[in-house]
Amino acid sequence: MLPTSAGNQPAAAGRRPAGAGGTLSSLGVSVGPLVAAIVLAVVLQFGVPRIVGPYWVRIILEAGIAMMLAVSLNIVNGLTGQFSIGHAGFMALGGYTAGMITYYGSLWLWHSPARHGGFLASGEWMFAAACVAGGLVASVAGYVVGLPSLRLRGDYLAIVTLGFGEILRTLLQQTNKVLGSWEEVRTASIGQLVPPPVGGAVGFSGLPKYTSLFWVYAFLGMTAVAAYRLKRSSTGRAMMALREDEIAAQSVGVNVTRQKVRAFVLSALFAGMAGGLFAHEFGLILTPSDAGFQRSFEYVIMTVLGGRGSISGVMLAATLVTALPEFLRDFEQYRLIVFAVLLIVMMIVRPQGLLGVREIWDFWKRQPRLPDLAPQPQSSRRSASRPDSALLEVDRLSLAFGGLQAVQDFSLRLPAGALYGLIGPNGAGKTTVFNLLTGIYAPDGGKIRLDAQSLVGLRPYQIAAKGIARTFQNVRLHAQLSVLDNVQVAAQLHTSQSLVSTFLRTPGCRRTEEQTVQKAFDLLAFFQLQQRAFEPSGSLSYGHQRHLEILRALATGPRVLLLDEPAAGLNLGEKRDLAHSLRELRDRFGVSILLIDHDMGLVMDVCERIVVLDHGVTIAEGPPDAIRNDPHVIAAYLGEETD
Amino acid sequence: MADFAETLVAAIVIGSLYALIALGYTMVYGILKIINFAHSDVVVWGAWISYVLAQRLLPAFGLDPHHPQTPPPLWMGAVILVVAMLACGLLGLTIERLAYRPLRHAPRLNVLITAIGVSLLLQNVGQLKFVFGAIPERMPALLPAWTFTLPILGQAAGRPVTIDLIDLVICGTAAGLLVALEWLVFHTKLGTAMRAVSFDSETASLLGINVDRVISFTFVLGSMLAAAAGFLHAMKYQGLNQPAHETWVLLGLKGFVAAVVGGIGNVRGAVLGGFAIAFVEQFGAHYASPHFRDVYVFGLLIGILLVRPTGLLGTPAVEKV
Amino acid sequence: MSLLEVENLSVWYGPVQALRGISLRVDDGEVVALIGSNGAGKSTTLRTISGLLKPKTGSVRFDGRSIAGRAPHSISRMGIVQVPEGRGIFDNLTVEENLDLGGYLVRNTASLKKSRDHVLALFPILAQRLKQPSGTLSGGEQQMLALARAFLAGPRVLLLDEPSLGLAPQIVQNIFRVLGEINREGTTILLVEQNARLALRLARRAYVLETGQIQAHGPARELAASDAIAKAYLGTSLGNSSENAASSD
Repeated sequence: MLPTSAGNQPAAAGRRPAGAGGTLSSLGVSVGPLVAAIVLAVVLQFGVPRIVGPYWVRIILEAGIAMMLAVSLNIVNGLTGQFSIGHAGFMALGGYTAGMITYYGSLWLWHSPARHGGFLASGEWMFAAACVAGGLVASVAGYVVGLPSLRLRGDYLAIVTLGFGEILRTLLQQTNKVLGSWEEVRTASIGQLVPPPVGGAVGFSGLPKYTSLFWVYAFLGMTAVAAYRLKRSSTGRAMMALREDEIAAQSVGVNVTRQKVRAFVLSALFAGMAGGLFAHEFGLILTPSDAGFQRSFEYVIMTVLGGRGSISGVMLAATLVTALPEFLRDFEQYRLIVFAVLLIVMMIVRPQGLLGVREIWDFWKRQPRLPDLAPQPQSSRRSASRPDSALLEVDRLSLAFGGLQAVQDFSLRLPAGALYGLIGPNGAGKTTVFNLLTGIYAPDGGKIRLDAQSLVGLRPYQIAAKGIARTFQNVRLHAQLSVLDNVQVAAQLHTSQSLVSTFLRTPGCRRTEEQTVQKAFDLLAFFQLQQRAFEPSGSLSYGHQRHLEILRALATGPRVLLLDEPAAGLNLGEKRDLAHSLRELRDRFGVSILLIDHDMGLVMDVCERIVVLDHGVTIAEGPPDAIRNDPHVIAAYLGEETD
Repeated sequence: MADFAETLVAAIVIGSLYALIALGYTMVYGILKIINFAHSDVVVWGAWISYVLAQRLLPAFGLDPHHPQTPPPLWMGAVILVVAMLACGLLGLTIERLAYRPLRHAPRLNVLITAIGVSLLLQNVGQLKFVFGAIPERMPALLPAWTFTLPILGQAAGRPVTIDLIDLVICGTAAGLLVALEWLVFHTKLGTAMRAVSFDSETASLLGINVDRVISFTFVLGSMLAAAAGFLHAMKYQGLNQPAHETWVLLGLKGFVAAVVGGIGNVRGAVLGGFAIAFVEQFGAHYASPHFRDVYVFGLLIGILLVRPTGLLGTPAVEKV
Repeated sequence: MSLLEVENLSVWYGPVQALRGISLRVDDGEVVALIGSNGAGKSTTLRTISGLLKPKTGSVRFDGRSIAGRAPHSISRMGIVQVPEGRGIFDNLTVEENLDLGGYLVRNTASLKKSRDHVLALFPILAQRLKQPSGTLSGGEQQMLALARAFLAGPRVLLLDEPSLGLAPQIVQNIFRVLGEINREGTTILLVEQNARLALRLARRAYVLETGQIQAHGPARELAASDAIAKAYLGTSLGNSSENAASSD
């Protein structure tokens, strides 16, 4: 069921996997978890102070804010696998923004910067709105900080986030020069608008203290539900796919830069809201050093301890990191030492964190039921758009690395529905040709046209969307994602979901999700992988991984499929099956296939035409029989006859 | 003009300190590809060990360990420097063995968290009563308070431009260490092995190079330079904050920024980066506003990374598909 | 007793078994070739012998001593020196520094100087490029440098992984001529090579690998005349033409 085979689309929309449906789909948007979070927050607000003293109330409150920051950081560090060590900067920015709003708002409305009204009174609503505004301002900063991810990777991106936090810290220290000091506020008459008391290095004091268990846990509930829904949405899947393997994610159409920037924006949004809560907490003053990298490190520690990508895991870790020092209070001098040692030991003995990529409830949940699927009648072979002309036309493609001419004047005409082979000794430039066709390398010269449209200069994810899919020489699956997710991330290529609909889990959003699940299962059936759908793809046998990689490529709905050594490492029986499968999938999915393999028997058996490369140059091209007897080819493989 | 000359001198002195710190970051990164955030704490330990040594040695010459009436013999400073360097070298060796070696094949994020753990550990162990304590101290003066008038700059400036003995000592010591390091890294077999391991440790092991030993040695070397920076810093500023104080963190962070600006992994880049950020910081502080000196440093960092993603002298990385 | 004996070696990459019980031996002074198509397990065999990979089962004995599981640097100290696939040149070092690292373990400077002069005579082009960063060398020059560097380590057994890879034929000829010379001077060679004809001309004996197992072994001349090689390279369903290819020798 491929998006390009338009005739089958409505039928697919009507069908739903039995296991996935039947929840709240008829109620429109799914608000259940959000309501539950609010109820829990009310219970905490009125219940907890009856059970424990104010000291522990405050720790529970702080744990809530820490959880919110850890969960939001986890969107960048856990889901996308990028590495931000400037998270506290977003928090502080949100806090300062929210503080300015409540401060000026209170003066303007009630002529006093003090707290106004009780539980859920107008003052509290202004405070909540201020927190959201703080989040929005922080998310703008998140966008700016995320942009360099276009050019910078790994540690270097991390360093930029660190630089952002440090710059912000320095700027906040100078706020008293711009905005006035606490002294000015105290001496000003009531009702007079004076600059807020941001007090330089001393911090943002004099704010109304609105933060309560209710607000912290209401915001936390919202954040956690949003993060969880994000993780299980197409966006989250794309983010995790790029975490596991950026190049493979691009090859199935994931716009890697866009997803990274999105992650930064969302992460900063929730961090900014948490900053608002932090700034208005009783007994705390938000200071510039809260923007610094030492505080950021605390949140990084929480995400790594909890497990990358596990929302419940990082919440658990945030609670532990907040509460543990309290239990060690008797050993005042030693508690940070104990903490440091625990951290080091933990990284050595349990590097994946407390929960790894799983959620707490995954540990006792049964495996999800497989959708009950009847075998789908597959779309028959598409008729070629223009039978005479080639679907993929490559003309005099060249690429040099330094002094080495990797590919020279490579030309190819691949008709629709063709199955061609590309062979040559090790180092001949075959994979380089694939990398050129899929946009991983930009050619020095030459043309690539798919259905008369030029592909040169497009980025890999754009080429995937145009209809070229590939597999990799060394299997590049998203190892920690399930088999299903691996196919689904590719199957969602031509769908779109807005972030808002993702967070609200709208019916449209769920329907798209069900369609891609359906499509993925249809594909998995091709290699009988349905039963393994919920296992991590890294746990499959090597042969199954090779199969899965082919299915993932097919899920993008390609017109041309590039297979890089699909038979490598397979035994003879598996190779025979693969040869059969290649013809079948060509016919069933209507794709043209270009196959690289070292098993000449396989290539000769299945391919209609073969191109032979040696040292980047095409030395022969023709049907298998001609290639087999070509002296140039024999010489290239077995070595030159020289004497 | 006199202002310019004085700012220039300050930039060179501070740049020397940054360069010494940056070298430790860059050598470890070059060889293990990890950011050793605990490095800045080795600088702190270097400073505090120097202080403790001075406290022990001064009474032996009948001098008040806090406010020596006359400067002690000049060689005492040299002895303290060497002992502090050796002690920190040992510290670096221990850190690598216990915290980093078990994680040689772990994800880099984990190694980074370990580095933060080690950093926290050094800070808080340092603050224990029987180690350095949690109270700021004052480093006694080990050098006579001589100042010199710079001949050429002063003439150009129209008024005398002076330089303190300690500044000359800092520049001299740093220059000596940099030359020694340059010689070691580029002109000895061990240095060649270090560069080989940083490029391709697997092939290096095939040639009989004990990669683990080379890595240990790199940590020792970086930590010794950190100790020198700590000692010189304590001598110049005398005020010695407690080990977990955030001023130390900022000093270490700037050393790290210097390494990144120069191209992390590149030894000459670290020196270049050290001076680059010192110049931006000092001239920015003098001619623009002293309040935003950290903004200049981190702004330079981000600007350089955006233009040259791997720093001034770094080599671009290519991913193999 | 052979100089190098490998017995029943099995190696896994995670869930994938790369070697399925390989046994082979190399006698003192021999050139032994290990041939087979891509992915057959040739490099894995070499990497296991040199200690870069740890075998799951089986043993590697050198000079009667078991070496399986030892660190690569200590194996190379015993006299097994591998030239890795892709040559393993340190691009950031000069040609001279690369050569110096070859002699990293040699304490006797006089003998080191002698063997250095000797390899520079074997590869005169290197003598002209000593001060050049080795990243600027051509592929052929890099391969020569890798061989020269390995030779300076004073190996008793040289493990060569695809020395002809990506090189023009006349350069390959030159390199193999030198390999013959090094062998005549007493260095034992275990050669992994995709270019089967070339390898079989240099080697005395050869093993043919296919999907992690040894499919055939014997004297090089006999293997060159048989169809085992063509089968391993050109696939089993090639039928008649593969025999043509092999018998055209």
